[in-house]
Parts: sequence; C-alpha cells; structure tokens
Amino acid sequence: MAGALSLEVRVGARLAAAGERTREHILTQLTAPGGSNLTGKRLPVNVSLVIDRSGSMEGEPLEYVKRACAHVVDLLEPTDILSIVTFEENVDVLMPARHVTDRDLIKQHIARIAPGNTTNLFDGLYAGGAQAASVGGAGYVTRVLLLTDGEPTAGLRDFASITNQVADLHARGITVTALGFGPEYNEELMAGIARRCNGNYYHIARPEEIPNVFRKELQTVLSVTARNVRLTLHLPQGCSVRQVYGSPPTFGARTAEISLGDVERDTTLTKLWEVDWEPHRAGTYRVAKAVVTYDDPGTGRMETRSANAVVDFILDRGRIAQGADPVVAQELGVALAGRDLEQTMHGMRTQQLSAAEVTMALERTQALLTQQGRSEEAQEIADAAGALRRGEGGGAEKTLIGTIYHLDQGRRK
Amino acid sequence: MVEIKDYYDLLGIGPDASPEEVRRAYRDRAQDAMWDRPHFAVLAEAFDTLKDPPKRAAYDLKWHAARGSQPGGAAATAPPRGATASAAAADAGSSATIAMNQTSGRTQAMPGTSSSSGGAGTARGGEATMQIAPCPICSTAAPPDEGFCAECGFLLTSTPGPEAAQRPLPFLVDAFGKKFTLRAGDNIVGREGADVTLPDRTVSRRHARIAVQGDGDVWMEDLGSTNGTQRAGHPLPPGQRAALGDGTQLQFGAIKLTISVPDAPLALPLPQQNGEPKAEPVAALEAPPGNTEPVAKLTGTSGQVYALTETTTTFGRRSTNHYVLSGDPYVSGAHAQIVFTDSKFHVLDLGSTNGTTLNGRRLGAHALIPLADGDKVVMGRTPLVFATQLSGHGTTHEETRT
Repeated sequence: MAGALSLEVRVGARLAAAGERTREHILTQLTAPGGSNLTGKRLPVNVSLVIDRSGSMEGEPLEYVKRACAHVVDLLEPTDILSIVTFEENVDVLMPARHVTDRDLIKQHIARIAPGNTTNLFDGLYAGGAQAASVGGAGYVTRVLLLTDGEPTAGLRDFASITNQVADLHARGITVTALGFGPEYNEELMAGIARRCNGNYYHIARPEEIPNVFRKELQTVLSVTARNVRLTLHLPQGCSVRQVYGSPPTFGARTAEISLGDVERDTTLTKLWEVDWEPHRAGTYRVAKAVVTYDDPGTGRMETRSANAVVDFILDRGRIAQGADPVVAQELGVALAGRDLEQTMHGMRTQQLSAAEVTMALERTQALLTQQGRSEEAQEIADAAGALRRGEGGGAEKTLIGTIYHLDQGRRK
Repeated sequence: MVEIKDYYDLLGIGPDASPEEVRRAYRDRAQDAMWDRPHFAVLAEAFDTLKDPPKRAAYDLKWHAARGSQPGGAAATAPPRGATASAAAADAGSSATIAMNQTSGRTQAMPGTSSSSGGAGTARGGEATMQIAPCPICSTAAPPDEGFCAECGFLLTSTPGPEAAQRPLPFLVDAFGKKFTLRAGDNIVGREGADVTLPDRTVSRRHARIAVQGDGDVWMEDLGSTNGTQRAGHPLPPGQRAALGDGTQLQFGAIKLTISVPDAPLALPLPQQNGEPKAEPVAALEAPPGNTEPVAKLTGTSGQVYALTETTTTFGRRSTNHYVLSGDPYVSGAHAQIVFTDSKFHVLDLGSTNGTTLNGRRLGAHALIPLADGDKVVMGRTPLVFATQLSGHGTTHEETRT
C-alpha cells in the first residue's frame, strides 16, 4: 500500500572511541509518505465527540461548539461512524455510535445542546470511550475528541483516575484528543491525557477558533495511514538506552520500546534516544537495530520495518570528530530546547524566575527553534510571550505546555 | 552450534504465506501426525509461532538472518549458503545511516555444514536446521542477524581491531569499599536513576554533578541538593565548581565517598568544544608512549629542569599535571602542554587565563606551535627555556612527575 512507513536511523557520531564508555544519541525517523491521490480512498473513521456543556460554556462558546460539531458532520461520509456525548453533572449520549447517513437529523440534535452546571469529565469521557468502543472491527481510525473549558468538578476528579482511563482506552485502540478551551481548564490534565494515548493536544484561546481546531483535528484523523505504531530498539550486549526524549520507553530484555499511536500521511516522526555504550573492542558494530511495527489499516496486516545503527569503534581518537552527524546534533538542540521550556515553565509557576527572566528565557528558546527551522513552535513561544506581556499567565502556560508536548512528540508535517 | 527450526519448511509453505495458508497447512499436516507425538509437538510449535503476527515477525527476522535472505524478498533469490561478505553488508558497516531493508544479512556458516534444503521440503522436516560459526568478539554462536552478531552486534564480515588499552577512569569508593566508576563527561550523583546511584534518603534525586574532563581534570558541582555536598569536609555552595584531586573526601547528604583520580590524562576528544584546534592535541595525545626516555627539557630561571619525553607533558597549578607550577599564581590549573608530534616538540596553550608566550609572542589557545632550541616559553609569569640537549645541569624535577 502507498501508505507504507519508512524508517531511518542515524547515530550522533558514526565513529566512537574503542575501549571507552560512551554516551551518544540515536535518532530514529519514521516517515509516512504523502500523496494527494489518496484523498479519495481514505480510511473510514469512528469519531466520538465528547463535549463539555457545563455552565461556563453558556453563550458564545457553546454556539461555536455547535457550529464546530455541525462542521464535523459535514466532513464525514456515510461510511464513517460518529457518536456525540455531552456532559455536565450528568452525561447524555446525544447520538449513539452510528453511520453518518442523515446529516440534517444529526445537526438538529446538535442544535439542541443546552448548558448545564458542573463538569463531570470522567464520566463524559467514559461514555464517549464506550460509544467509540462499541463499534466492532479494526478497519476504523478511532478517535475521541474531548473538549472542556474547566477543571473537573463532579464525578472522579483526580489526575490519576482520568489518565488511567485514557490509558485503558488507548490499550483498546482508542486515541483521545484533548481540546482545552479558554483560560480556566487544567492544562496539566489535558496534556497528560494526550500524553497517555499519544493523542493531540490543542489549546483554544478564543471561542471563534473552536470550529477551526475541530476541522484541523478531523483532517488529521482522516489522513491516518498507520495505526498502533510501535518502535523498538533491539540492543546488543554493552549497549543500553538511557532515555527517549518525550516518550518514556518500556524496557524488555535488551530492548526498549516506545509507542507512537497513529501516524498521518506526509508526516515525519523524529525520536531521539540517549544511549550508553560500554567499552568496545575496535571494530564495526551494530549498536542498535530499530524495528517499527504498525497496523496497515488498508490491508489489515501488521507490517514490520527495520533499520540498523552501525558505528565504527576506532583507536584513533583524532578522527572521531569527523564522524559527527549534524542532523542528530540539530535534533538534540531541539530536544534540549523542550527541556529548557519545561524549566522556564517550572520557574514561572514557582515564581523563582522574574518576568524579565522568563521573557529572556523564552526569547532564547524561540531564537534557537527559529534557527533549527521549527518556525511553528517558535511562533507558539512568541504567542506565549505576548500573552505573558498582557498579564495572561494562564494562557501563556497553556500555550507553552502545548509547545513542549509538540516538541516531545517530534511530529512534523 | 545453534539451530533454528525452519517452520516454513516444516509446514511446506513459503515465507510469504497468508495466515489462512498457514492454518490450512497446519491442519493438513497435523491430521497425518496425529499419532507421532514428537512431530506433532513441533508442528504445534510452528503453528503457534506463525499464527501470531508479533511472534511471526520476530521469527521471520531470525529466519531471514539464518538463511541469509532478504526480508520481504522471495526466498528463491537468496544467495548460495556460505556466501560471505557482500558489498552491501560492507557498505552497511561504514555508514551509520541505512535505509530500511537494504542491508541483507549473510550467514557465516561454513560451507558444507548446512543441512537445510530451503523451499518446500518434506512434511517431516523437524530436523531442518541451520548451523552458525561463533562470533570472534563474544564467541557467541547465535544466528547472525543481517550479518551482525546477534549478541554483541559485531559486523561478522569485518575483522576485529586490536584490544584497546583500558584507560584508567576516576572512580568513587564508599565506606564499604563499593566502587563507582565515573565515565568521561558528566556524571550525575543522585538517589535514583543517576550515574552514581546512592539510594539514601539524605541524597537528592539529582544531587551533584562530577565532570571528568578530557585532560583528566575532574570537577564537581552541587545541583541544589537538599542536604548539600561537601568536599574535603567543607560545604560546596550550589553551582560552584570545585576541582577534585586524587583522594579527596566527598560527602553527599550523609554518604561519604573518596574519589580516586588516575594520573594519566584520559586523552579523550573534548566534547564541550567543537572548534577544530581541539582535534590536533587529541591526535597528539593518541600517539603511543614510544620512547619514554627524556629527549628534551625546559629549564626555569632558578635552574629547575623539566625533562620532556616523546609524549605529551602537561603543566599547570593543579596536582593532576605532570609538572606542577604551584609557585606562580598566574599559572592556570591546566595551563599548557608540551606535545611531541611529527617528530617535533610543540607548545600548546590550554586556554589558560593569563596565557602562554613564545619568545614574547602570546599564543592563541589550543594552537599547536612548534618549538626550536633556545625558545623562551612563559607560562603565566614562569619563564622557561626549551632545549633539545639534556646536557644542562641543575636540579632535575623528574621526581615531581606525578
């Protein structure tokens, strides 16, 4: 199938000193090819919209949400499945999972959404997940779109219960997209939800952005070309993975695996692995074998690709510098920028950094990202700095947490 | 000899058989083997592996490797057994970037030892196995994976280099004699997930950093730990770097350790700077210590003689240098080196604070400048005269060489 992924592996330095302990970085790059000719035969999707209709959503926000939902209905085909769940204190299944055949009827239902009072996020998510899971068959790209504008105020409210629920859904092949709207929601929780299931996270600052973000997310769902993507490094003796930037790995017997969720067309997923090598005798070694496995939804079969990371361990230390790979160094710069941002955020929250220091730190990171060609993230930081100047600390934090998550995801169009 | 059973041969199917074909082949053969318990067990094992996609993927990798064929390609295109280094595999070794599935594994099996017939064989193919020669590095006889040793990752078609001399690395010893070897570069001391893990509640998660420099210098800084870090009995304020000499007592929280710093410089490429001048001294340091007889000297104004051998000699205020210039406060901790390379002596300033001059001209940091007989070298404010003859008299400082 045209949507086959390709895998490339790079090592920070192709030459390493024999007989030394070495710390290096291995870069894995997964590329899903593009192809506009595929638009006609995209995969059917199974989308569940989980909408917060608590009291705070009353008025403009809810009107925009209705418009966004109607828009989603327009984008879907009769082969797709849609379910709509709204939650306040209680949970209503506005539309159980079914094919999008009568668009007008669905829109009439959407128009009936009315604001309630509290926010029972846990039960709303549970009902949405149940609707998505009720559809049998692996042929669908399944996604729950969760929109909320506030802290959970009813039902189970703690971080662990909610993220564990998300992890359960993820294990059943359901990805949750976290859409945080306005200045009040808990960005740690929403980013945590996205992180647990490799979903996307969006910060929506103004109500008029809601339809646009829904469209953007739906486009992503519609262009998924590989599902349940897992990347494993098989390590020989004397090589170990220390950490993976942005994706905590699960370690097996001489393996380290990360889960990457769904991958869309025309996307590159970059992951940076920090590895340790014990002293090696001079020679050529494969320091890691990267294996990616994914479900090809077109054929329903599991596909496997592999690539090798090979390093020459040499005695002549003078030559080692020649083996450096600038691409890996660049990605490392980006990864470290993410860590810097995290520290800046921490300083902001604990008020260890003054406003001027935060601005300076943000400018530094922004310059670095611009230099590395990550203009989108650089723009987000500029937005956050702008929000900070206007005294909207909450908005800035929400934007930054999104930026950190995007940097950690390593996903690029 | 390690064997892997050829399940495909056993079931009489090709490697690209669909799950349905696997199931049918198993059913047919299982009927016949109903009364042959051992054979039935092998069949069941084969089916168990091939029906489960993750298991089958893992088995396929091994199977292709053992057969020396290309995953995804037809088995019929596999080269004759016993074929060794292919150009593709050799290329793979010299490049770190390999597009997927372009390398093809080649077995190192000795010609004539293979017993697999390949392709669709008899139904009773339980003994369809492959045999593998051991790896020269780790002596493991595992089926090679795409030409690499499955155990240590060595490229089996290449020849191993000589054993590298183990360079001594600094290490920490705790009160019970437990040794923590430090690595070149940064080492984090902390309670969990650290390079030096001290599982004690008085130690912070990220307690302190010990950096082992390429020139053998070791320094430490506290990373804002809760209970503080002490060096030789004195508290070390967070963020302040302190040099560590051999035998310094360290304390992290309540845990006391002693550091042992080897004498010889590590001669590592310095990772913190990527400027080109660094490459040269590193290459020079790499030169084996061939002639250890002194062949040249530097003489101080009051007649001290610093004998120079055909290696690298370090000068500075710190005790880790070959020659310690402790009397001059203008000399940096690691000030300069005299490097013997290209059969000439060179002076190399290590980025010292107050600089090194050669015949009155200040030297740039990390630039390798050749020395001639009679040259005047000033490190900080210590004047020295270079001479290639050793006939000069005066007190030799050979014994201060650490």
